[in-house]
Amino acid sequence: MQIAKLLFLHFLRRFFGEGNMLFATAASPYAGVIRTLTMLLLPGFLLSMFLFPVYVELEFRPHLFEPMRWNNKLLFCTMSASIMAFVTALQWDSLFPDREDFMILSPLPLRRRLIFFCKLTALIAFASLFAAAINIGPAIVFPLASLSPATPFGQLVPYIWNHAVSLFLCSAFVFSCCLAVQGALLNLLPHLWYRAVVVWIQFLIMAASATLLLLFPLAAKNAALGQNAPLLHWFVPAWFAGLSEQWNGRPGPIFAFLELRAIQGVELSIGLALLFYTAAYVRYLQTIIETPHDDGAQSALSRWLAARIDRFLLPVQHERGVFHFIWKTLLRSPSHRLYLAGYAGVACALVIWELVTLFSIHSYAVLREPSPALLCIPSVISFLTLCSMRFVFPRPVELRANWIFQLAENDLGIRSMQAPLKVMILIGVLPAPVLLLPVHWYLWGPAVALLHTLYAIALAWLLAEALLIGFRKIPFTCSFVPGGHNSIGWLMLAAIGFGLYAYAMASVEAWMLRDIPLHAPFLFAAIGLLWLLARRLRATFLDGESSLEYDESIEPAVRTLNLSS
Amino acid sequence: MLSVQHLTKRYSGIPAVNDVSFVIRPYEVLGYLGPNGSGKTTTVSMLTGLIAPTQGQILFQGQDIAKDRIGFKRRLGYVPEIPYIYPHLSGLEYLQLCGRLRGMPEHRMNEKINALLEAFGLHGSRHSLLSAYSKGMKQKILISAAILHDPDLLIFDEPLSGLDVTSALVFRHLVKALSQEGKTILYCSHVLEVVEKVCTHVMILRKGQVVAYDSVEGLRALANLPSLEDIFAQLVLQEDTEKIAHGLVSIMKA
Ligand SMILES: Nc1ncnc2c1ncn2[C@@H]1O[C@H](COP(=O)(O)OP(=O)(O)OP(=O)(O)O)[C@@H](O)[C@H]1O
Ligand SMILES: [Mg+2]
Repeated sequence: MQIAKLLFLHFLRRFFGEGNMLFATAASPYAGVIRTLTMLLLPGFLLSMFLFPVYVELEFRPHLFEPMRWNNKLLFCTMSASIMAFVTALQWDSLFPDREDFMILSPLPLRRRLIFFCKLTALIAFASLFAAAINIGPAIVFPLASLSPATPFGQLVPYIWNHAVSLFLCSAFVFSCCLAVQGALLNLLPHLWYRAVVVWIQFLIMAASATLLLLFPLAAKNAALGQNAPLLHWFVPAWFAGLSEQWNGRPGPIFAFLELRAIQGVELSIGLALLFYTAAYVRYLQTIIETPHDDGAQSALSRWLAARIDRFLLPVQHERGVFHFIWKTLLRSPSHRLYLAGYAGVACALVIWELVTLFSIHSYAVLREPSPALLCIPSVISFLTLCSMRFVFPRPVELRANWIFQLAENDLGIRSMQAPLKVMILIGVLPAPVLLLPVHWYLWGPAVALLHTLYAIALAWLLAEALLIGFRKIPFTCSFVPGGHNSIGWLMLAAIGFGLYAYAMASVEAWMLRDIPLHAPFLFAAIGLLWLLARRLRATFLDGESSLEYDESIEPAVRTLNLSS
Repeated sequence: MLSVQHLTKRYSGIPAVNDVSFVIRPYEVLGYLGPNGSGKTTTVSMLTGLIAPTQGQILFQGQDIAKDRIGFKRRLGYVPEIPYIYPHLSGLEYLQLCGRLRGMPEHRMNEKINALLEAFGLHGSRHSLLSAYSKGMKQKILISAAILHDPDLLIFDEPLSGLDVTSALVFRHLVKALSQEGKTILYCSHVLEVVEKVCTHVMILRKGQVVAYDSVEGLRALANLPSLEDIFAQLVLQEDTEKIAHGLVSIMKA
């Protein structure tokens, strides 16, 4: 029993341990856990609090009461599902016991069944903790706020209970769906393939999570019309909001239908999750240790591409080395990949939302018109990709291995600073506009399509230059001081920047397209000027100092690399 | 010629290396010996510029290396004690990174890398990620990276760790051959018999202090003892090793 408890605590601690994405940016793991839980707790709490005055107001308009309550329940269920999906995607690699666990625990005289049992209970405890943090505010405060004045006091407790249970079930459903997917993939795919698809699954889950939140207003509108809207059938949070309404005795066939979906969904997902998880454990007990690591071999196509890139983009050897280092780290380091996947997921969700909203109002003919809603799409994607890269560049990979960069430093060190820019151009600036070019060509004709592509590339390039101003490190080689950055300030700046860059500039573009010969030269000249300015600024920052940064802390007393650990 | 004068490093006041001076000329190999924690790696880190000395000077060919750090680093090859390398790169990619960072022309670099991998028997696993390499394989990659750019000064910190018998023998001959090419070599190790065979000079360190510094023959003659191991035992080991071992067994059984 003692051992089981120890193991359980060991696994639980590993969720919060080092290298975990959720807590990685805090000064200490403990502070990280507290901060993360608070961040999950606050939105639901605050939102529920704000609803108090709304419902007081509604006492004078009783006919709006029920639609409002339904709408709010839908919102809270959406938040519950979306945040849970996001957290699970971040925690993806620790859901299943990993190689390290097996390496440490296998030599010890422990029963495998015991290890499995403890891991599973720790997993459930961890998921429950997060579900609690996400849902506790809406579960308790919202029923208090939205209690109809006609309800007798005795019904308060059942009302809270029903609402809380449906919220928790919503989180549980999302979590066990993810777990089932992971178990199924582990069972179906060879381990190497599994490692290769993981990042795509994480990307999909994050995209889905963001899409849920963005689609909420549309779903709420559909639901408010009281229609048996098809969107509701597939909008998972609606099942659980319906469950809550049904349990509270609100009549309507749609709620009975949604309740059924919710219950069946929960049963099925938990059943499948347990089944696949157990099966994967039995199957992978040994294979996970014995399968070879990922391979670094490149396909003929990527070798050919790399050779072209080297030839035309990277004439200086030092820069070439740095470029390939950045490229491979972005592709292969799990944590860096995850950041990119998260941002790309959000970008994807924004585009889906944009299109769904557009089609819910207009017919497909709207595509023929280069409206700002369509023009902004490449910019949305490139903004988020470029920002995500700027965000991951300072985060080190295997910091202690950076001695090779320090040792091979030469006068060209500063010149290697073109390498990050070139990576950004290849991953963040070019792909979205170029890949969308055929679509735009087909829809809007060659002239507009080409101009649009050019405009999107010019803007994104300008953004890439601007983002790198003052960046004096080789990406991934400098120590990173967590918490040393004003993250809230940066977030607000990024939000404003996003609005300006993606949406305002799309309106400007629409204005340009109205009279191309008159407006285009002027606009491109303006962008060109700004580009020159950004480039100048970046160069000034680089010239100021002769050496690159490897240590972010403010002038350490002793500069050590701990080569002798 | 590498000349180290009165080199001292203190960690919060406590000296890890205390007033060490030595000279290594081309064609010479200095064996740098000492028990665990005696300051070998600390000295090497100061030489490579990874940590700054508290006191003292390091001259390479008469030039203070602090004045022209980059010029010095360009002519330096270094094998660190612990193989900190990027685990997400393959062996080939890692060597390419090193070569490119040092500005070697692409074609010549690739030829050299392939030949080195072939020579070390790593060609078959050149595309595997370094995280999957064994300890000795990593060590071979590090050695290849250190000699890739034909440096004048070579610093090896415990280079044999993890190498199998054949590779260790190859490496021993490699050090000899390099010194015959006129390279300047600093060789830190615990393995006394190897040091005895490959080094021209020996320095023995204890708690950061130099306790002996001479040519191998000179030291033997001076101490009037047949092997380096006996000299080492006399200078450094002041405990009864057998007694410690018995103590360990009785702790285990307790
Ligand atoms: N970053 C540091 N901070 C404080 N003390 C340190 C630091 N690095 C090394 N030391 C101390 O310096 C001394 C010398 O360490 P060093 O690593 O140079 O020994 P070494 O001779 O290489 O040992 P080994 O044979 O085990 O490799 C040790 O006592 C160690 O505790
Ligand atoms: Mg050492």
